[in-house]
Amino acid sequence: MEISIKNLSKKYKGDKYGLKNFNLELKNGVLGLLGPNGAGKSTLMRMLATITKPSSGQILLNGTDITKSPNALRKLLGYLPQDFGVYDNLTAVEFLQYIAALKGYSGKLVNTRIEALLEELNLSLVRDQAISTYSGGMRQRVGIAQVLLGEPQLIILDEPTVGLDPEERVRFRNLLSDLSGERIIILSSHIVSDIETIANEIAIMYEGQLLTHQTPDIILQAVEDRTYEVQLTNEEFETFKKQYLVTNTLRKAGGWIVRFVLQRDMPLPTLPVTAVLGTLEDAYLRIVSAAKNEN
Amino acid sequence: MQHYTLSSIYHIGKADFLQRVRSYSFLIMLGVCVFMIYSFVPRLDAGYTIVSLGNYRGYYNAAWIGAMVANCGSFFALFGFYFVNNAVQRDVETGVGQIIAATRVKNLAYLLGKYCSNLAVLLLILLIVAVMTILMFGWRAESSVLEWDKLLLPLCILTVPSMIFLAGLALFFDTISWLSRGIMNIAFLIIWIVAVVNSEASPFLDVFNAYTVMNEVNTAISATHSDWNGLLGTGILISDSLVGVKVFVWEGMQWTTQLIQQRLFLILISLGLVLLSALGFRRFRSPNDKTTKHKKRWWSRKQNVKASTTIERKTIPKLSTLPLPPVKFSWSHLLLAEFRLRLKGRGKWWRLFTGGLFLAMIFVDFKIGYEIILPIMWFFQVLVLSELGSAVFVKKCHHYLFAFPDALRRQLPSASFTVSLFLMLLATPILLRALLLGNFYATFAIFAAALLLPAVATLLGTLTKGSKLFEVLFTILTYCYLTYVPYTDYLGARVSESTPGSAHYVLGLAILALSLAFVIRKGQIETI
Repeated sequence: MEISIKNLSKKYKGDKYGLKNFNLELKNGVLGLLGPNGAGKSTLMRMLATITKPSSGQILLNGTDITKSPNALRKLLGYLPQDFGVYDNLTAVEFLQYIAALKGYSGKLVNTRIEALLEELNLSLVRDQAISTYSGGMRQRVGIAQVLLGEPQLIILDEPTVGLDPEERVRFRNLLSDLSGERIIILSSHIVSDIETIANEIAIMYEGQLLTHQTPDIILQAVEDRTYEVQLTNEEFETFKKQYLVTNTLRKAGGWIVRFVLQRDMPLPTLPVTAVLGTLEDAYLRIVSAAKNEN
Repeated sequence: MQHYTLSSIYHIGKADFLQRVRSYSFLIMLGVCVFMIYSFVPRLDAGYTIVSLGNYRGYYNAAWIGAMVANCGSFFALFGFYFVNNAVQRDVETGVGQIIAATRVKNLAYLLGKYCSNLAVLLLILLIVAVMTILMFGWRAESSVLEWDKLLLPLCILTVPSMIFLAGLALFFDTISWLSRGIMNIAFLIIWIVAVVNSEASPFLDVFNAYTVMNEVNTAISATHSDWNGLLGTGILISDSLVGVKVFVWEGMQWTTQLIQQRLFLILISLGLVLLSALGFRRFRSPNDKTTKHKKRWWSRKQNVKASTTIERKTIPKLSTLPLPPVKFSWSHLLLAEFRLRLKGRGKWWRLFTGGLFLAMIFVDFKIGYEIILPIMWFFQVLVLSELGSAVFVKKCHHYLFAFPDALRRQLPSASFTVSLFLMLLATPILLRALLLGNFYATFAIFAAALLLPAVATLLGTLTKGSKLFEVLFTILTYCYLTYVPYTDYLGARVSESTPGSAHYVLGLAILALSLAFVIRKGQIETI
């Protein structure tokens, strides 16, 4: 399956753009979308999910424009929006049966699949309780279950790990790895480590535009030999963070251990520093920071 | 009172007020108000009247127009209540309540804020009514003398205290955590009917201002016109043209101290209701927190054990090894799922009341069952109906349900048709008895009405993305139907030689409403 996004724009009132001349080519695999709040990730996902119409541009699914024939894509789609709700008087099983009926799945296999999904998402024990009694994380997993109900060819997950505890996040990542094969999975998250472990391609967005679309290895090159740690006093730290791109801090007695990335043409500080291995989070912060500085 | 508390009251009230008035349903409500006032001051040859004086008619001066509008205060109260009865409940639903509960805002301050918001919304409606009254004077008055006091004082002195009382009553109901919305709606309708029907018994009972004005008119015309035939009626009354009928010139209300005291008393009761609400307000704690905690835990444990045992017994295959279920859309599956969705979670009182009325329809006289019990039973389903079209937005499911294949063709008709089937199921005793009696028209009329109500609910829910407007209109329709207001026999239960049935119009209206809902939803799916 191939999705081709061509010159896609979404214009809001007052000449504000959610997305501007956006181009992206997608093939089977997992694409992680990264970007600060307001970067246009959700707008892009909503347009891909056919629930928002673009102001201009095209989204082609195997050559078919989905803005003109959305049903072509909807039959293949599993979508989890960022802010979603459920009919919480129903139990998880009843809710998923309802979703299955709406999506057009019928037969005994539906119930078997629902049972398997609930088991994979660790909801079996509460399968017969009304969703209104669930915790936030459990509701999120019900949302994920409705996405995976029909084994869709295109899976769009907007912040799917919000509300999940670390154990559930690992479980979810494993489930997604199992599913990633002959399909396109697009997920956004503010937790870079979630993207890092699942995605084989990463797109970084900023202010409605695509900054980069590469494999994690290539993106990591942005911080290769540029990531360091330094130990600072409180006073030094205040001055330091104004000059350097700080990507992490750790409080220590009497000061800080500060992780930072050298921006382009920036000299190393005169203080004793230790070179460390750059992570995807460092790379992401550097790329976004560079874009901010350019603007 | 501390500055902090006053500021809290102001901001809680302001936020709630803005949240309500910045909605389509509020605009539609104002539109309904404008239409009502326009209709309540009819032309002399309109063919109907709101206040009938038998062989006389009121001269359209400021006092008469002001009185006619004030006399309809009970109607404003009826739909005003349904518009403001969820200030606290909305905070429960949105989760804002939990945030407020964790602040140092006192219960009384919080509830006073909500009370002020209720009041502001109701007074805003009255302000629109007042402006419309002035406009109606310009359009309809026979007298050119605009006496502001006679035109507007009835509204200020009679209707405003009713609204203040209503703001307190709505808040009081709103804070009773165990009271479901369905029961609350019914309870208020009963209170309203009892108050309106008994308003003659004591001026203190005329809380919704259904009698005071008419009493004054009665006294005045009796004293000055000995040839008056004594026929005084209010409501939507069909009449011949009033052009040429003898004229009664009313000089307006006599504002006695006793009358003012009675209206002030309503304000006191309203404030008392706020205090009472504060005493019983549980600050967003679950009603199960104290009393049934132990019981619930035990029940939950039992259920969990049951669930886990089931899982241990059968082996659940891994998801990735399972074949895909066939994609074969089935209306029967969807209708079954819709049935579950619409009826699950209804309280025991709902089941009891519905079951009781169902049984009653089997045993009571056919005419009573058809004409009275069936519409009451259907009215009791107002919450099942009012969620149609709007629940998908209220529950925030539209973000993904609209991205499902054939979302438009499947979701809207299936939900509406499911509730139609449910209404027909509830009407089974009457339907079967009608068939046995050979009354095929009744069967057709019930069928048409069962299609109409869900279709209109779907249309209004889709249009406003909320349930209020349908709840208000259905309440008014039920009241008008039960009080024999012409053109409201949507069930076709009062068909006779003189009043031919209109079931085919009802069916046409149902199709039209559903078609409009379809068009609106299509737009929503495309432009969300």
